[in-house]
Amino acid sequence: MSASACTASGRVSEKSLAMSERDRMDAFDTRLMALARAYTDPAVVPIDPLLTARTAMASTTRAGRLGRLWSFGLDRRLVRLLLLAALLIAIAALAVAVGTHPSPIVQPASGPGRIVFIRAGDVFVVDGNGANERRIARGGAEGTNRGYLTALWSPDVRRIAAVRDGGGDVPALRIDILSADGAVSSTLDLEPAEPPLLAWSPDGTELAVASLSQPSSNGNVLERRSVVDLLIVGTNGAVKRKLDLPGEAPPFVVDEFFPHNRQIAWSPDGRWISLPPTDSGRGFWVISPDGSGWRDLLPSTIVTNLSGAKEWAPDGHRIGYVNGVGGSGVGCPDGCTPGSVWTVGFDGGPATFMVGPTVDGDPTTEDEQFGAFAWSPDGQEMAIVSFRKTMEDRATKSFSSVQSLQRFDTRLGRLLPVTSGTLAIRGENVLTVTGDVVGPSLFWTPDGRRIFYATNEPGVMTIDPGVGAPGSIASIDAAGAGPSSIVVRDVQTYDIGFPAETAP
Amino acid sequence: MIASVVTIETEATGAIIERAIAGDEVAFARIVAAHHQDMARISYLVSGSLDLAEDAVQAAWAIAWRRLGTLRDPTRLRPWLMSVAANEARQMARSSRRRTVRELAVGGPTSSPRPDRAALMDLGNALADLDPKDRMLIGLRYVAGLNSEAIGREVGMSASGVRVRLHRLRARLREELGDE
Repeated sequence: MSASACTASGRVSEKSLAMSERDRMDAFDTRLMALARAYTDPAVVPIDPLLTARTAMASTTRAGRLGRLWSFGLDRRLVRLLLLAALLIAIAALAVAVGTHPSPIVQPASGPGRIVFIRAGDVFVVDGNGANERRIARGGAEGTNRGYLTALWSPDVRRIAAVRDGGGDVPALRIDILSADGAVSSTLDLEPAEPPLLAWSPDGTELAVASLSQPSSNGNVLERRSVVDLLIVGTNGAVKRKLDLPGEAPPFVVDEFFPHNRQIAWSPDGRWISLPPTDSGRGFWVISPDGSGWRDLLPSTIVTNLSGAKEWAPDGHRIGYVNGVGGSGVGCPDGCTPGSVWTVGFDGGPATFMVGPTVDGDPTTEDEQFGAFAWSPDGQEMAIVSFRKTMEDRATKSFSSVQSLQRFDTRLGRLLPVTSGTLAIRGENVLTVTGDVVGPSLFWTPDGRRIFYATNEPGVMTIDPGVGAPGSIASIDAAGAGPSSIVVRDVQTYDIGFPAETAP
Repeated sequence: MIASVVTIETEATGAIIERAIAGDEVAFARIVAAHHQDMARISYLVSGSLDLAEDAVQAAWAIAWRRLGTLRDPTRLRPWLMSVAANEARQMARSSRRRTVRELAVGGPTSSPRPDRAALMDLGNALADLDPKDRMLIGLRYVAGLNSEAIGREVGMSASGVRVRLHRLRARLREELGDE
């Protein structure tokens, strides 16, 4: 018996009941929609859309390979079983190879990293999050004795190569190999000279030491030091060999206003060492650590690289470098674009332009130039320091300088947009950081999530040529998700290592 | 993890899709920003597990990237993405081979005045008793807000078939949740 809605006579009409039922259904729909949204709220978490997009795009390759297996009509479960069987066989083979003394499993580097830095001539270490700062070695800085000048972690972050100045009328330099807690394990005395360039081999068994001449001026405001000798030193402090520099190359030089770290660098496979720029601005030289040869990767190209910033890509097949930093025309002969970042393939071929100044036609500002950079751990990106001068006083032609830290995607060939965070962002692609970024010392964490850099905070800046400008070390979320944070202050030079964790 | 502020209001969807297909990472990221949240919601509703939901959404984006070039009608982007996420969540829920214990997670942003906890628990229990495919229909209708035609196109049913099935599911849920 169907229900009816009441009419005036007391009987209920069917039409009224139908509308009432529809209203109730609509009301339930609305309620169910609200319930469903509230119920699924926990699944809504903030994401980085660019990171999600990149992950999806990168996974296509792997999915594609498996996809081809599907196309041969193989059942998914069968393929999984085959892959599992292959894995088990590989594990068994490894167990046999290892024998009764398996090697410890080395986990990828994690944690905040460890910073070694020089302050007032002493060697300090601090965790990458600013914790556990402690002095591990005293340099005895007093009078003409400057104490320790630079320090560099070995690749396994267990030893430190530190340059020390003994003072006196004639500088007495030495290289101390320290343990991570500051104990001196060996010492190499150097000829009286300027603080050398250092670079550890990737396996941590050797140290490349480039000794430098006294500074000389090439006519502009920059003073340059030439590479005199290139030594390969063992961890016991003994010189293993002296390498002959390429005879046909002009002197290799470094200039005063950039820290000395990474102006020479071993390739990731340990087969080559990149050298500083040449005095003529031509060529891009690498030398083999055994002295058997050298190579000019860009023999007909002007590469005026005043900052000395050259970085091997993690894959070892490319090297990035900065061309002509220092202002329009300064030290940059015709043919190069000052303040641009390039890469060159190690196996030859022309250099590839990455990013450089864009002309905006504004006479009150210089074009933005790009300086120091660091490859991301996966080799796909560069963290790049850019700077732009803004004319403050036309009469005196005084400028202020704005420096920024940006990310450049080498595959897309463009600076990456930064989604909003708590930073003051200028323009579309810029992370505005505290103070000014100095030098080529940029470091990515191994997980690619944070970038460390050196900065002169306002009011703190001083310049001490030859040992780097005292400043602060800061870190910032690589995606711009939060403000930069100062890790440690009053630092002359620094290096960051990320120890791999070893499971028992 | 950061909240996205990217919108696609200033550029037609079709143009963004074209750029994404051409390999423009930023364009694809804008699509992600616009649709990820609802895809995550649907995945959670279908799978009943936050972990499975997260995996399902990641898998869905990989599928979306791979098949974006097959999408001919830009207006189908949202329904298509929602159904991909729902389908991945359904498959993951099925392959987990267990009855999902639906814990009522607390926290997270709320989109409206929050229903009481008892009602949410009732909904969770009611969903747990549904077949994954039915949860998929509920998610596409009541989370993504798709109509029967759009749902039918994506899941391979007729619009009338979707309406009939949703009607029965709604009646069942009314009974379990109580009709206020």
